[in-house]
Amino acid sequence: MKLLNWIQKIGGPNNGAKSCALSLSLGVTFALTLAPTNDLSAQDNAPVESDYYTIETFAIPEGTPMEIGAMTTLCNGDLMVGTRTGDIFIVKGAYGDPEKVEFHLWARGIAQPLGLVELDGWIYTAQRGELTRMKDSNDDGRADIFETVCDDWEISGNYHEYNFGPRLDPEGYLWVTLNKPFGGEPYGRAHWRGWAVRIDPKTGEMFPMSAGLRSPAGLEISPWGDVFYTDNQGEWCNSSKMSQLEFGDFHGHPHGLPTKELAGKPFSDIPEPESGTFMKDLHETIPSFKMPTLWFPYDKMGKSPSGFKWDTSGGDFGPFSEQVFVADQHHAWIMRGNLEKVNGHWQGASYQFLEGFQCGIIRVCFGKDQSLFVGMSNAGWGGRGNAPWGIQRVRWNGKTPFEIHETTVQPDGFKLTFTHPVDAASAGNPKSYSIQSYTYRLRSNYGGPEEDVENLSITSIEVADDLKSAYLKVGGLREGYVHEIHTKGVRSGEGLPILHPIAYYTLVELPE
Amino acid sequence: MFRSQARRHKIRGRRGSSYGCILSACAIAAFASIPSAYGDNSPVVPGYERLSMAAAAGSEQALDVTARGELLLGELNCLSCHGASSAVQERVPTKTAPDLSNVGSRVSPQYLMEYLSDPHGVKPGATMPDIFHASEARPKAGAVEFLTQYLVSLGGPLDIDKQSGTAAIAEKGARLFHSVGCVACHAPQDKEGLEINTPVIPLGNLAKKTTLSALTEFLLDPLKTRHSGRMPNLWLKQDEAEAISTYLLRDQMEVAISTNAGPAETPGIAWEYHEIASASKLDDFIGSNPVSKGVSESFTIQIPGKRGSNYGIRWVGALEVPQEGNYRFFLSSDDGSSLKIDGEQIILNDGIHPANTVNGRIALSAGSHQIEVWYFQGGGEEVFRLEWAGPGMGRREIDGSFLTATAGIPMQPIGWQAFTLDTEKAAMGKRMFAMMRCVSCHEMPGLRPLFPAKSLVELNTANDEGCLGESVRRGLPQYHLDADQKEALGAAVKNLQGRPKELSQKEKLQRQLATLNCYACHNRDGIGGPDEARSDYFQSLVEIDLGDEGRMPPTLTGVGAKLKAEALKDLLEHGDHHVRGRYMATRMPGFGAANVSTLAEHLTEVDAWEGLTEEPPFSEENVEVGKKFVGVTGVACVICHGVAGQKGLGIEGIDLSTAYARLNPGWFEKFLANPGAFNKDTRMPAFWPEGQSSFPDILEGSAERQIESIWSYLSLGKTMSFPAGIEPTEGAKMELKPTHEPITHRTFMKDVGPRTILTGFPERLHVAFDANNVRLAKAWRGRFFDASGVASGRSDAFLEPLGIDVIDMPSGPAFAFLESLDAPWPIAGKMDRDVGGDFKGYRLDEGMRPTFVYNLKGVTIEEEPLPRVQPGGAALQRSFYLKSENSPAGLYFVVAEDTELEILDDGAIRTASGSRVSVVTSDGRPLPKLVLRDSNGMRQALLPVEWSPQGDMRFQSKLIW
Repeated sequence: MKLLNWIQKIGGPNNGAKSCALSLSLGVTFALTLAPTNDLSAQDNAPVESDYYTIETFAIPEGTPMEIGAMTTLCNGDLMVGTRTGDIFIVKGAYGDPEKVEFHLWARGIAQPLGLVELDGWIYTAQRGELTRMKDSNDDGRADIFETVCDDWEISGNYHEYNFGPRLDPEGYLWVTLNKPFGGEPYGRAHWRGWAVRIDPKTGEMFPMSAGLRSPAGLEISPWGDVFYTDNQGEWCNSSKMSQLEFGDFHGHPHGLPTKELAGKPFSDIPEPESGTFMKDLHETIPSFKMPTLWFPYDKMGKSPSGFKWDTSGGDFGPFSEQVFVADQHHAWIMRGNLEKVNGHWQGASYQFLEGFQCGIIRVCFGKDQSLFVGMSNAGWGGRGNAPWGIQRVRWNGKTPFEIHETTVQPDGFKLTFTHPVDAASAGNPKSYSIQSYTYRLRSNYGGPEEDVENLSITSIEVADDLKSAYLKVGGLREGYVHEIHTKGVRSGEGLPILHPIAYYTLVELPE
Repeated sequence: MFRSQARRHKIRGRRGSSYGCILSACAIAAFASIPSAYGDNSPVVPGYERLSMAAAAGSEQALDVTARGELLLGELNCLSCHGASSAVQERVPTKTAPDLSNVGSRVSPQYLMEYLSDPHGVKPGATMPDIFHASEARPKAGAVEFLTQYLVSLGGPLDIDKQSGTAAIAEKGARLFHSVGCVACHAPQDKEGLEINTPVIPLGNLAKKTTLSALTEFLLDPLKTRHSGRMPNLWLKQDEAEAISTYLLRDQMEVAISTNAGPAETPGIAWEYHEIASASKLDDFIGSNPVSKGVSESFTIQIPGKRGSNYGIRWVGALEVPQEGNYRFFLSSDDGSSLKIDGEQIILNDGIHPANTVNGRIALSAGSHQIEVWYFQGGGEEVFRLEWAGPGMGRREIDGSFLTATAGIPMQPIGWQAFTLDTEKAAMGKRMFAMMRCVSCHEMPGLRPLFPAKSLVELNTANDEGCLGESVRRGLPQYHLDADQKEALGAAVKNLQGRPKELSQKEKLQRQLATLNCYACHNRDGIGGPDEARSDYFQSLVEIDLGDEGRMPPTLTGVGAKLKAEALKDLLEHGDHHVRGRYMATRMPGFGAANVSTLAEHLTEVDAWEGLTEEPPFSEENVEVGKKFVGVTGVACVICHGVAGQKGLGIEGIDLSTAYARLNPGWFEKFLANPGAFNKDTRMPAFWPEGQSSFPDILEGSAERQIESIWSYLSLGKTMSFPAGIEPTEGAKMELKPTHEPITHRTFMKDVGPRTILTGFPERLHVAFDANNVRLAKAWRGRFFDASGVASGRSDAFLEPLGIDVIDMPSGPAFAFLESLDAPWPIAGKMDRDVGGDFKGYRLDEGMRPTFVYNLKGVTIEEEPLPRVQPGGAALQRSFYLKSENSPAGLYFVVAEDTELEILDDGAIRTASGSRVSVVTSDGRPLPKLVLRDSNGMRQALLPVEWSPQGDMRFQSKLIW
């Protein structure tokens, strides 16, 4: 069903623009296969992440601040990265020996690029003050044309006014999310801060799409064409989240609301939110308020979600095709999510996936060989890891970890599928699980606690005949709550524990 | 007969200091008020002594006794009382006495009284005569009191409140006093028994005389009160002047200690607030001077006047530990911080980072411990908190009850007593000031001497009761002249009455060098320079393998040929072009324009030769050849010389980029051909021995043309591009260095905006384009830019150019449509967008040089800024191409704007601020006539845009500044 959706969307009009990124995903759609099964030989020690995924570190030229803010795989397979200093490099040899990669300076002096899109022979990037397209017109390996496509948004000169993107939607528009300032605004209040906009690359015309964003560090178009972003916990965004961006949405932060008059209908109808309201109740006063797709409970699931990517590897990156990988800038790790659309709302579960990167992650992207490039920068924020910046590459080594493959909500519980057949006794035992639910208020204060916490009871468990799934019937499911599902007691047929045994399901809509 | 030697000054030690263990650098010290071991209290006139020494040593160059007597006539101010013909007055330039119009605000009443009573007892060697030497005690006491009342009424009494010092500051002052040049004229105060054979100018008992703030103010600008320039300006910074003053007044601290006044203590903690261009770690604040200081109740970053980024706060004081035990400190900060207790580093939480807490433990005894804390903020959020926990005390912030700020040891003039101004006595004193002819030397508005003295021609120098006599009559000034001085003065007065021999230029020059005491540091034609004892006080700041060239002031022989007249003048007046300052501790002081304008002229006139100032041909090809010669690709000047602030490869010799502004081309050519002829001890090698070049293939092996090519390259001055071998390492945090190709870089910039596009060129000329206003905003030379303002940490600092010669383009957009020539030029406000058009981006040519493109109401404008090298530094050329579909009327380009504009003969425009702008078409069409007009209170030169039949126009403007 989802797959069908996805293909239909991609087949639709795309404004005539040619993007290799789209054709890449189209290609893999048809290449989707089932995840290969692997024999897990008995192991003495409990498995660890590195048994399945290998992290390799690129050698960075001495003295080059390789603070990655933007990353894309070009049509020819080369990796292109943009740094906070404003350099854009083409990385040659990105698929070979990580000690021998070469960085070719393609452009410099760009104002903090945080996204790169190759389109119709141009590279598009959002700078602080404008959306720009760049080209190497004489083919000497250096960009020489820098055209302003759109500069309709404003900046006040505050460090926090990052612009993320662009990303190309199936209709051929480029999306940009505009971070709000934090602290002094030397050049006065700037319009459009805290908004998601999209721009027609042919005319440069800018269209407001969503309001109320805080620090929207990640922006991505799903393979089926929907637009999502990640937002960082803070004031009016009291737990980090991933949300869908649709026209007319309000996401909770009032900073940019004075711009609503410029944006016109339906934005002009958005009222100021009242601090302290439960988010699940906000739609009563603000109909356009958009609930998250995934909440990332603070600290348990990182602190600063950043770039994310859907697995379009068709199984070459492991068993999680169609799922989304979300990086975190504080925890220097990558999380995983499975999404489903319930009553018209995208929601799902997230899990830890892979940790131990050398620095806070800003961007991830898949290479042509379906390895995952990971671009990092501490960017002045603290975080895990021991380096100020870097690029690493993740390869799947072909072995399938024992994981919860996906979690879907049922009218009376959750269905968990697994990557390996389970041991029926442990998977069918309610004591192997525990479930807690909690929610958040929208508050003007920075961050906020998990509230209205409740432990739920599992009334029954059905383990499927193929031993690949378990249906947990649960009493007291609540719309608008995170359901944190622990599966500590479940064992695989080989007796292994689940590598990441907690699913955080953001339940906004209960199916009929 | 005159003295065969200048008087010798033996420095006597002072009794052990009660504060000596703390004030270690001052333990051995002397009052410089003891100029001589021989009880000699005749006036010290260093120029006279110098020339007498030279004459005694047999110098034929030195002025004869009559001319030396004339020098004394001037230095002792004889002509201020004794009228003389204007011819004589012109011949004998008179030193002015100190300006007393505000003397009450800087000199203690008690000192004034003592000094007036016995000037030569209180300050042996003083040039001020004793007026009351033969007066009866009672009338004298009255007169002194009245005069003191009058002088104190002039701006006084001085403010003695809130002045304090520390031993550390005094020690710093001791180092400075003995190195920056003070002891070239005054006596060193750090050695016992030092034999000095060159003139020593007395200081008197400063600790009695004045206060720390008054002396500091004086040292910062001595010419303000001593117009004569005999005490020159050493260009001290505030903290340096404060330190030297603290040192010179250190006896005031000793008195405070001995009377148990002790260090002043107040509850709380003392803070210093620092600002720097770019902060990423605590070490960035090394060498920074505080912007402000104060005392707060406890550790808080809420400092008045604090800015949001790139600042640091240092707290220092005493922490009162309630009981002995282990204490843990918790230091939280965003960004870095550090904690030291009793000098030991307990916590270091350095670098740019979000708020985090680091803790550290230390065992402390009960009682007072020194605490020093640093905090700095790069950009973004500001967090600081210091907590502690210890025996019986949970974790809490350190509150003020545990803190004591030490304000330093109080300082006030020794012998200070509260003084009551008596207006009647002061009025009497004022009359007396005129009556006693004080006003003859110390000019005072509205006062004239009541009883004129005899004119010079009437003087009988043999009169035993006259100024030169053995028993000077009551009412006449007693100078305590010694026999030689009397003889010289007598000779001068006698000769002046006849038809005086005109002094030659050379003699006048020598007299000026003597009176300003240039000879204290410099030798010229065998006269002058420090003696052996003083020579030790001339030191290098850094280890530099230059021998005496690295520490001793250079010879003045031939200096008028060496230095350009303008450079010489700037050097003497303002200390500019003191190029040895990077390695020589002693500074070249400034003497004030009025005192040295003729000195510079005389040096030039005496030393110059024909063709000295003729510039060799300049061309860009010559620049390239010269650059090769200077680099390691040629004779490798860069081994010993730096370029534009970059050190040389071997040692830090004089920076080559200073050469063109200082040196005459003719001198340079001769010097390079044979440096040893100018200075036999120089380390500078002869690269063209006997006129032979070791590069026979370049410029046909011609030494002359090769040296000329080097001159062409040096003539670019501060914007010289770097020669082979010099790799700029200069150290702003993320300094962009366009050494090989231009760098175009987007950033925030102060006074431009958050959407600035910079381009730095290897020619070391750089521009800033504002993509919000849409206009070229600034240009500058030298170093380019520090990218760390926005590209590091969580910083949003609006940094300034790193370079020099920053110039703003005319205000508002470069182009505008005007309805009429009466319409004002548009103004580009800070927040305005698009006043200059819609910004369309830029393209780079094959050399990475940008062309900016914008569109103003349908007119596409392309602007290409480029450096054009030329002597004195690169000029900015802006090439414009305009294209339009409909050739609209009323479009103008603003060529120049200033308070005044002058059109020169060649059509170029000179602005009031001294820059020069020319504009030419580059499409072969005639240049439209420029419009001069007033707009927004400024003069403007506008170029009307005239469209070609194809609807375009090309032109260039060139800005030289």
